[in-house]
This record gives sequence, C-alpha cells and structure tokens, in this order.
Amino acid sequence: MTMTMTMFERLRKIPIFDGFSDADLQRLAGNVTERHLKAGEVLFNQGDEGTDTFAILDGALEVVTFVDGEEIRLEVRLTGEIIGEMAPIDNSPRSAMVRAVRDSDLAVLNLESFYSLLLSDSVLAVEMLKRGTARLRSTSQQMITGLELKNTELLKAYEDLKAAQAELIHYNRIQEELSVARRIQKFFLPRKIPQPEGWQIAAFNRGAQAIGGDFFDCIELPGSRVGLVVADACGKGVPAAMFVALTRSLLRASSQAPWAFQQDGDFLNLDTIVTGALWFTNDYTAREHGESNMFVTMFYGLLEPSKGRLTFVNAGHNPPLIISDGGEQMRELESTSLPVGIIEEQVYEAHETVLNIGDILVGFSDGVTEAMNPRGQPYGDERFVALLREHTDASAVDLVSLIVESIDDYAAGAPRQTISPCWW
Amino acid sequence: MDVEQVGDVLVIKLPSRLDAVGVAAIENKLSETTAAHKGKALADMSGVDFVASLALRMLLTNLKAVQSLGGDLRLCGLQPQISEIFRKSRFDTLFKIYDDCQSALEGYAAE
Repeated sequence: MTMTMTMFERLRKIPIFDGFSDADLQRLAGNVTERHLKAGEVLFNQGDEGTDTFAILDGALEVVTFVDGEEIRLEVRLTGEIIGEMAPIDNSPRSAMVRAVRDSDLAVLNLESFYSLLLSDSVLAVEMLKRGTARLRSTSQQMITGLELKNTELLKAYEDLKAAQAELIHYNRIQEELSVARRIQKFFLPRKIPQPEGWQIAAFNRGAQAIGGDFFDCIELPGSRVGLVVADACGKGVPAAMFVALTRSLLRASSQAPWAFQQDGDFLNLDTIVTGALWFTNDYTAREHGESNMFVTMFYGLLEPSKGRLTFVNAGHNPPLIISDGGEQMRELESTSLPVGIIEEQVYEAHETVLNIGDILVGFSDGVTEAMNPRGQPYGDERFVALLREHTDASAVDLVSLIVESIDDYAAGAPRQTISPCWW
Repeated sequence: MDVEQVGDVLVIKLPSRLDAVGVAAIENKLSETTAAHKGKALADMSGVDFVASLALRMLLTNLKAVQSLGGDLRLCGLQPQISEIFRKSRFDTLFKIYDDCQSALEGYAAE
C-alpha cells in the first residue's frame, strides 16, 4: 500500500511535519529523495562526512558508538523520527554510526530542506535540541560507566600484577637462599679426601634438588685412621639438609673430640670411637629432635690403613659392598641397627672386617640403585654389582666416574641424587 | 587408601606407590584416622610396590602416635622388595610384621 503513496502523503503521516502547510510540505516532498536500507545495513559510519538528515518513513535504526573498540548502542529511532540531525547542525563529521535494525525506508533531507524544517517549526527545533542534549548526556554517561569498568579492571590487573611480582620476588629470594644453602652444604662434605698410603679413596655427591639428604664424609683421625661415612637423611630438600647438617656435625665433632681417643694417654680402641660417636649423635638427635620423626641412615666405618681393618656400625643404611678376587667374591656390610634419630640411648655394637689388597669397598645411597629410567624402572642392585665386578681394575676416581656415567646413561637425563664413596 | 574396621582392628590398605607424592596424598588422612581410632591398627601393604624413606617416616610417626594412645600399628603383606627395605633399615625391629592380614588379625585377637 505504501508503494502507491506519494512522498507528500508519506511525509504528511509523520507528526513532526504537522506544522507544515500542505503547500510547504509539497515543496519539501519535491526536494527529498528516498532511500531503502536492509536490516543490518549501515546508513553512515562514525566520522563520515555528510550533511543529509533522514526522516524514518518506516523502520528502525540504531545509533552506535565505539568505546575501546567495543560497540555501545546509544539509542534506537523508529518510524516518524528524524535521524542524522547532528552533523548538519554543527557541520562536523558523523558522531556515531547509524545502522538499520530492520528493513527501513527513509526520506533524505538535504541541508536546505532540513533548515527549512527547523525554521518552520520551533517546537520541532526545541525537540531536536532536547534530543541532542539527552544523547550527549547518555553518551557521556555510558562512556564514564565504560571507563569506570575499565578502571576497575585495570586496578584489578594492577593488583594481580603486584601480587605476581611479590611472588616472583619471594621466589627469587628463596632461590637465592637455596643457592647460598647449596654453597654452605658443600662445606658439610670433606674439603679434601685423605689418601692413606696404599689406598685410593674417591667420592661423588650430587643432589636431586639444590640441597638434599645424602652425604658422605672422610674424617681424618690420629694415627692415619680414616672415618668413612655414607648417610642418607629421610626425605629431600631443606628438611633433609637440616638433618644432614646436624648429624654430620655431631658425628664429626664427637669422633674428633679429644676425649674420644685418649684414655690415660692412649688412643681408645676403634670400637669405642665408632660406637661412642654414633651413640652420641643418635642420642642427641633422638632426644632433641625426636618429635620431627626424621631419621638418618648411616654407615660409619673406621679404617686402619696399615692393617686393612675396618671397624664399623651400619645404622639402617644400604649395605656397603666389598668386591674381592677381581670381582669373583662379593659381601655386604649388613645393617645391624635402626637409623640415627629414632630411639634414645641406643647401644651400638661394632663389627669388624678386613680389606685385603685389591678389595673394593663401595658405599652408596639408594639414589644409585633407585635411579629411574624414563619407563620408571630402577637401575637396580644387579646392574650396579655387575658394573663394579666388571671394573675391578679401575682406579677409585675412575670407578666413581664410571658409576655416575652408567647411572646418567640409564636415567637418560633425569637427574637423581647419587653418592658413591669408593676406596680400596 | 581404603579403611575398614574388622572387629576392633582398623585395617588400612596403603596405595601402591609410597614416594614423596604418594605419602603427601595420604599422610594427613592416615594420622587423623589412626588418632581417631586410638586402638589396634593394621596397615595392609600387600599393594605397595615402592616405599621412599618418607613413607618409613610416615609409618614411624603413626606408630609413635598410636602407641602413645595405648594402641599399636602393625604391618602385613609386604612384597619381597619392600620387606628388603624394612630389613636393611632395621625398621623390621620397630613394627610387628605379618605375612598377611589374616595372621595379623589372629595375632591381635590372641592378645
């Protein structure tokens, strides 16, 4: 039906032209053109040049602006309303985008027609002024709300960033402290490994973490005796390292204290030194730190190099191995007591064995035999023993390197703690 | 970790891998359970195929705790390699260890 209506008839139906006489409206109708928009089609974009104004004959159009690339719909104008009136008023580019919400028919008013419209109807002019002002307020308010939202987001992001930064600083401080602790822990290993005449002693220690619970010691005692220690505090990392520091110091100090070897001017026998030092270390640790339920497995052997006599106590540690006869024979120095730190007033009994020329004594922690390959299978006792038997002619230093290499090959880069004091 | 009560004995079935992660996963629940029970407890280790030193520590902690409450924590069903670890560390002297649950329960019942 609208198809058959003339532009004059269509404009006449629009209330804003009520103030126009038929003659004036006829003249206006002669000056306007018609434009059709499909739903979603853009009439003009924000920033476009243009001075045309549009009367909506039939349809709906939305006014859209952008804040930070995000669309904000300012308003929707419907049939009978004017749209696009701001640019001709202030002679500036379009302040917002206008897009058809549904299929729409528009009457296009050029600058002259629009002004004649405004001048002919002061009510209409005031109405437009009101609309313009209202839209300005609405736009400002929406932009302020948008900015406030953004501001809240930014503040939160800033708080998150500050928290992450604080965490990073905290983390770096811990890393620094760990690296200092690692340097300190090195001093809990012997500065040099004694090499009594006719013997070779070598050792290696590498933690699975920065600091850890495995350690060895070679305690030089009067009469060229050497205290050989291999130990493993339960767990890993800082708690284990604290018990390493504690028990290593106690054992070394009580082994080297003058009262440990002298009685009426003579050295105490080896049994008494070994069992006394272990008794003291265990009793102190269990009494003072028993509530931690931490413990340290410890092998402590005193070697008398001239005789090849080894007096030892194995407190819950992996039995050290003695390989003899070029790999033909092997025996273990079995554990006879609980680890250090569990029961107070534990009495230790010393055992004795003799190392002959060509014998190899190997002490190690479970980091050696429990090193895992990528499939989660342990290196294992058998592989370890086979390696030792195969290399009985290697020097102590070479043997230690061979063990480390073999484990590293097996574990294919997965770092594990290994410790292997060796001597013969 | 499954827990069931058989008569007056709390039977706790320990998971297969008692490494640092495995221990951390059950440590608290185990202490809470045994502390709440107070009396006779039995750790069924037949499913355990790996124990780290931290697992020994966890068992020791629980043993001390239940013993101080007048109870006990016993072990059963140790696989050969686990038995070997208990032997080497002499932890076998701290715990009463049985071949299987049945004999452990009978041991408790006979007292």
